[in-house]
Amino acid sequence: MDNPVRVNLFQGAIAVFVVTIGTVFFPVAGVVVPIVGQAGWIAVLLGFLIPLPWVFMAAALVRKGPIGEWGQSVKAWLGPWVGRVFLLYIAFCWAWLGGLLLAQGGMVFHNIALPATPPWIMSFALLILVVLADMRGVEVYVRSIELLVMVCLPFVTAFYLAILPTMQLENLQPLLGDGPIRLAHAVYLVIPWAMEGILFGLFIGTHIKNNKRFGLTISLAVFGGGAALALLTAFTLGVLGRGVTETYLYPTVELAQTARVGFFLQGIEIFLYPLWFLASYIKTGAAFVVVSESLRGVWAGATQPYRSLALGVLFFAVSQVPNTVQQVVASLGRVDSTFFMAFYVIIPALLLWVSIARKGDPNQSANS
Amino acid sequence: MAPKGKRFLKKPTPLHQKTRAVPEGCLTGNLDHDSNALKQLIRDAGDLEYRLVYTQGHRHVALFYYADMVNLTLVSRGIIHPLQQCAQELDIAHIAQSLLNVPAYKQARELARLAEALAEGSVVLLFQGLAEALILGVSQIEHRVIERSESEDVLMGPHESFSEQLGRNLALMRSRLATPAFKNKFITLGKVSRSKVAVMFIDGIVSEDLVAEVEERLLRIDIDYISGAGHVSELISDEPTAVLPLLRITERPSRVAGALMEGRVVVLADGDPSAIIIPTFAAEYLQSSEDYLERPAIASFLRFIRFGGLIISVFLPGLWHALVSFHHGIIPPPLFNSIVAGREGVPLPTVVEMIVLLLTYDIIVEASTRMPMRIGQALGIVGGIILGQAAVQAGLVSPAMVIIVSLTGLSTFTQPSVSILGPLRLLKYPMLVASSIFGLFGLMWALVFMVLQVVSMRSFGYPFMYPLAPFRWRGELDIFIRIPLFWLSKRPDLLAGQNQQRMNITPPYPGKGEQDGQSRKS
Repeated sequence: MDNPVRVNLFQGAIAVFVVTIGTVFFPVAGVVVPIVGQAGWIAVLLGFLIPLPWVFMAAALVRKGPIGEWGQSVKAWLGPWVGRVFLLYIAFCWAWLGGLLLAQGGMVFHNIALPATPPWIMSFALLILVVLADMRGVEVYVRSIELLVMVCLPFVTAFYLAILPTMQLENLQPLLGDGPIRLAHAVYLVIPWAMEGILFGLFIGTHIKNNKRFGLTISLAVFGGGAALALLTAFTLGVLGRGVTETYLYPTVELAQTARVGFFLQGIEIFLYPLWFLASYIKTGAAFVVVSESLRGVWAGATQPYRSLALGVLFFAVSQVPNTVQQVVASLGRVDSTFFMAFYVIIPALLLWVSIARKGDPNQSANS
Repeated sequence: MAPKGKRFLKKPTPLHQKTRAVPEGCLTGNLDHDSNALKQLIRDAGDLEYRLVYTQGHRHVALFYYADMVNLTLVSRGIIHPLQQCAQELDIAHIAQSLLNVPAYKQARELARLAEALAEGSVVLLFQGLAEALILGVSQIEHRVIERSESEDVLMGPHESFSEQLGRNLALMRSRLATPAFKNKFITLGKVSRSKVAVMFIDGIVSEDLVAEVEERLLRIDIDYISGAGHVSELISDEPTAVLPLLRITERPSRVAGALMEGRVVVLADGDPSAIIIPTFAAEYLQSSEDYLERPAIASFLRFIRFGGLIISVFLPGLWHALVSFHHGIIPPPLFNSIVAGREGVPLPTVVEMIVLLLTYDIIVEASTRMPMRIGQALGIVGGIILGQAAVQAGLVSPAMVIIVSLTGLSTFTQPSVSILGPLRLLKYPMLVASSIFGLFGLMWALVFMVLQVVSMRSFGYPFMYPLAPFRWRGELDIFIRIPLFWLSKRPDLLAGQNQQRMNITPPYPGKGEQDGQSRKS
C-alpha cells in the first residue's frame, strides 16, 4: 500500500521556520549588539526582511523542476553535469556548516552543563541522531521536526514568560544611536542566516507535491524565524543591557541564568538545555540531509546506509577542526559570509538561466 | 564436521508439516467403508460420537458428532427421531429439506471436508448407498456471557464487551450498526486451528485499498495455530518488533463501532474477545470512550491529566536523576540540602537506587495483576506502603526517591488503554539510563531518538503519529482537548478519503427570543 502522506507545505514551512532560527537563537544578540547596540533587533528584522524576494525566486525555481527528489530537480534546472557541480557546491557549503554546528553543539553543552565530559563525545552523540534521521529519509526528518517543535513550544513560552518581568525598557534606548552605517553592517551579518533558511526551503520545496502557495508560505516561515530572533534580541537587550550583551558570545545562555523562577528553580537554564539540544539536532540534521541528498544526486550509487555513515565520518572530522568556541563562531561567520552569501547571486542567476535555457520544457527529467 | 551420529537423525520437520495431511478421498456409498474411512481420518478423538440409525425404510444412516459441541436436544429431536420415523426412500436433498428439522445444512462428499465440519461443531450424516453426506449445523458451544470489560472499564456509557464467540460479537456489532453498509468478510486462518477471522468495515466510508491491504496481509499468514487477536495483530503489523502497539486492541463494541464509522477496518477473531482496530494512531491511546460523554471542559481536563501522566511516567525518573546528579545548580540550596540529607546513609548510587526501586515497583505491579482482586489489593498494600516505608527506615532508599517512583508508577496508570501501559513501564528505563550518562543532554538525546522512532512508524501504511506529525489542525485539537462534537463534523481526512462529512448539525445556540425567556415558536 502506498504511503498516503509525504512532505506537505505546512511541514515544509515548519521545517524552514525552525531551521532558520536553529542555533542562531543563542548567539544572535552577541553578533548584532556589539555593532549596532540597541538597534540590534531592528537589524535582525531587516536582515530577514530584505532577503524575502529570494524566497520567491526559490519558489519559482521549485516550480520549474520535477517534484520528489532534490538531485533530479537540480539536474533538470542545470543539466546533468552542471547540475552535479552545483550539487557538489551545495554539499560542500552545508557539510562545512554542519560540521561546525556539530562542534558547536558539543562545545556549548560542555561549557554550560557538562564540563567533565569532552565535547567530542557530545558531538558524536548528536551525530548518531543526525545519521539515523538521514537514514530514514527526508520525510521522517521533517516529521521529527514537526513533533520536536511541539516539545520546544512550552520551553520557549516558559523562557519568554520567565524573562519578561525582568525586562527594562530603558535598556532599549537610544534606538538608533549608532547610525545607519553600523545598522547596515549588522544587517549584512544577519542576511546569511536568512539564506540558510531560503536554501533549505529550496531543498524541501522539491519534495512538496502541492506547492502552489509555496513562495508566500516559505517567506512567512523565514520572516517568522527572523521575527522570533528579533524578539529574542530585544529581550536580551532589555534584560542584560547593551554592555553585558556585548561581552558574551552566547548572550541567550547568560539571559537564562539571570532570570529567576520563584524559589523553586535557581535559573531557567532548565528551559535552555532542551532548546539548545533540539536546535542543534534540527540545524545539524538539516545540513546533513541536504548534503546527503545532494550527494545522492551527484552519484546514484551512494546508497544508504553507506552514504550516511560516510557523511557521518566527514561531519565528525570537520567538527574536530576547531578547538574552542571562539574558533567555531569565527568559522561559522566565515562560512556564512562567503559561501552562503554567494547564493544571493547564484539564485537569481540560476533562475535567469532556467527561465531562458529551459523555456518551454519545465518538467524535463534529468538525464542522470 | 558434524558428529557421526547426527547423520542418522532425521532433519526436524517444521510443525505445520508434521501435522497429519488430510488424505484425499471421497465417499463411496458403502456405509461401513465410509464410516471406517472417516473414523480413520479422525483417529484418536475420544470425544467423537458415532451412532447408527435405522430408518423404517431400512436405510442405514451413520451420525458423527462431537458430543460437547452440538445441541443434543436438536440432534435427538431434529435428526435422530425424524430419521427413525422415516418410512420412505428419500434422496439426500429431500432428507435435508423436508425430513430433518435443523437450521442449516450442506452436502459434501470429501472426507476431509466432513472432518473439518465435525471440528466446527456440525453433525455429519453418512447414508448407506449414497456417495454424499449431510453436514448439519447444530453446533452449540458453551461460551461466556456478555460481561463488562475488565481491561477497559468505564464509569459512564455502554459497559458490554465482546466475548469469545465470533458470531455473538458480530451480532453485537450489527445491533449497533444496523445498516446494510456494515460488511464483514470471513477468512480462515491456521492450518490446524482453522480459526475464523472476520474483517469488518463500513462500505462507502472505508478506503477500499485499506480493506484490500488488510485481507492481503491476513491471507499471507501461513501458520498452524492462531490463538486470537493478539497473535493476528503481531503477524499483520508493519513493525512487529516495535515497542509501541501499532494496532490497537479493544474489547468494547462501542469503540469498534466508532472506529468503523471513522473509516477504519476492524478484525475480530473467533475464540478471542479482542478486536484489532486498523489503522491506529498514537494519539488515540490518550482518548477514553467516556470523553465524549463528559462535558468538553471536564473531558479536556482529564485528557490534560492523562497527557501529564504520560510525560511523567516516561521522563520523571530520568529528569529527577539528571537534576540531582548533574545539574543540581538549578535546584535551590535548601531543597537540594534536604534531598542530600535524605540520601545520607543510602549505600547505592542514585541511578542504581532508582532502578532498584522502579524494578521493585514493577515486580509488585506484575505480581498483583495476576492475582485475584482481594489478594492483589493486599499485595499492593504490602508492596507499596509497607515495603517502601521499611526500605526508607532501613536506610536502603531515600524518601524523595520513593516519592518519585510512586508518582511515576501512579502516572502510568492514568492511561485509558491497557496496551500502552507496558510500553510506558518499559520506556522509563532507557530514559533513566540515558540521563544517568549525560544528564539532561542524555535525556534529550533519548527523547529525539524516541521521536525518530515513532515518526518513522506506520500503522498499515498510515503515519502512526498522525495528526501530530503530519500535522492536522482539526485532529490535533482533539488530542489535547476534547472539542465539542459539532466541531467534529468531519472524519479524519487520512482515513475517509471520499466520505468525510459525518454530521450536518449546527450548534444549538438559542435564538434571541429564547434568551429572553420566550419559546422559539412564539
